[in-house]
Amino acid sequence: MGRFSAFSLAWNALSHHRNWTRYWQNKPLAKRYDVLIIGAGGHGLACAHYLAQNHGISNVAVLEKGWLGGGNIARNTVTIRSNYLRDESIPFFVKSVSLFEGLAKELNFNLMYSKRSMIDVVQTYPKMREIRRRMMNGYLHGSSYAPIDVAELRRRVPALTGGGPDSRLPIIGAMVHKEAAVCRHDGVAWGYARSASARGVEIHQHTEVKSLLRDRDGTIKGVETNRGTVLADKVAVVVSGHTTTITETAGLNLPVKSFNLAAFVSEPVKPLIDVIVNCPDLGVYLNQSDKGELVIGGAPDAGQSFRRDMKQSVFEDAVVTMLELFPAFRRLKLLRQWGGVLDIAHDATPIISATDIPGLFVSCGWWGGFKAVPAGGYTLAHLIATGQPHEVAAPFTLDRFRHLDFIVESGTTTAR
Amino acid sequence: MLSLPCPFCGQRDETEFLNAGPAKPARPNADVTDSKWVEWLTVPVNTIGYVEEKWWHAKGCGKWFTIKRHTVTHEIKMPDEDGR
Repeated sequence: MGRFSAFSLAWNALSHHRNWTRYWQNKPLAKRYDVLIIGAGGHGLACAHYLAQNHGISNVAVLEKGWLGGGNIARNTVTIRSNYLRDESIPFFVKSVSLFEGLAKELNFNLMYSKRSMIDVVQTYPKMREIRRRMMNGYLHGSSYAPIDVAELRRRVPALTGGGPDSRLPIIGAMVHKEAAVCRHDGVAWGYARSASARGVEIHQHTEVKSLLRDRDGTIKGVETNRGTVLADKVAVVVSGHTTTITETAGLNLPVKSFNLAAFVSEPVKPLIDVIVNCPDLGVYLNQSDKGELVIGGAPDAGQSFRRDMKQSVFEDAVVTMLELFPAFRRLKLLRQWGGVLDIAHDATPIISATDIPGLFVSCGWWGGFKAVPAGGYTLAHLIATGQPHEVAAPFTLDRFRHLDFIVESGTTTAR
Repeated sequence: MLSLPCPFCGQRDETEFLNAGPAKPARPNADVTDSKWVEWLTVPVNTIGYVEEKWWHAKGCGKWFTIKRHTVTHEIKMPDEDGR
């Protein structure tokens, strides 16, 4: 694997860019590995990278049903933030945000990371109270969250012309989360894959895990795939919304439900919004990509779903509420839309845990898991390598359900 | 958009309803083990296939009812349609 640098760019330009090496290697599927990771998405590839880099475990295979980075890492709205509510959650997401900051350098891969603040537009007093509570808890754990008044909000987001005093929900204030950032989402998957592959991790695309295999004593033995049986002492299920689909083949039920969450993108326009705007009272959030497209997300579908599409009613709801605040956007044309399957526990806190089946690990319940990719992979690798949860992820085990000791975390956006 | 069969009003648009989550199996007796009780409390059926779920006709007649809905095709059946 060649290193990317200004020099390598110039050198390869001389040969018309025909001699770049592949990002990752394609090796034949072996019969046995030390660790199997199911799912080559953000979390799975990050876990593979940190297993090899931090723990020296490189006899690892990442199995992917589709193509690398084709799941939810390709279907999010690229927001990185740490403005969570609970003492247990904030340190984890603060770690994730700080890992993201140095990630492009660590992976030697341009992630187009752009720190640009998130502004929450507040339109109701209950939300204002909740968000002030978030501010104070963030202060305790090193996540900044500062109030600004409406005039300052309108100065920073000139496109925000709706929500005046005569509107249905007048804007009463706003909150700025300075650490928030965006970055190239599939760059994260490719960067982790390239780095993991360089350290000896194998990535097998189009390798669908049909079922988990258990030994006579109940421990995990390996997996059955469409390319035959693969054995391993440790298996990690990192497949977002389809976690229960995999674990139910081993008779393991998990406390998560899967939902379809959709987003859509407008045509590219000139630079218009340089922050991430989140409107928790309306349930819509948007940012502008480097190409100039507005990336807009709304609420999930009502009820469990394994579809990856967008319901017309959900789409209209998101558009109508967005136009209340950004009336000028009514002239934007939309380019594309997509859905993704996410899972969530009823306390809305993620799960990074060993399970009742010895050797089987799960990382699920992420809902919007993009912001958590580095810390999720980092702590899952720690758990797999040492058998002990990492300190910032220790509250996220399945034990909290056993003791009914929930970490009730409501999202700032879609969990209205 | 789903078209949901309200037992009182007939077929109505999904936007009139609130989803109230999966319908739970019958509450276990008091002598149930801790682990079974926790499982009943916390683990929903989350399958690719039919799930049983409750809906509330909140912006209509106020009726609560249970349907079976396929989590991929969104096909809707009444819970007793397949012999239950």
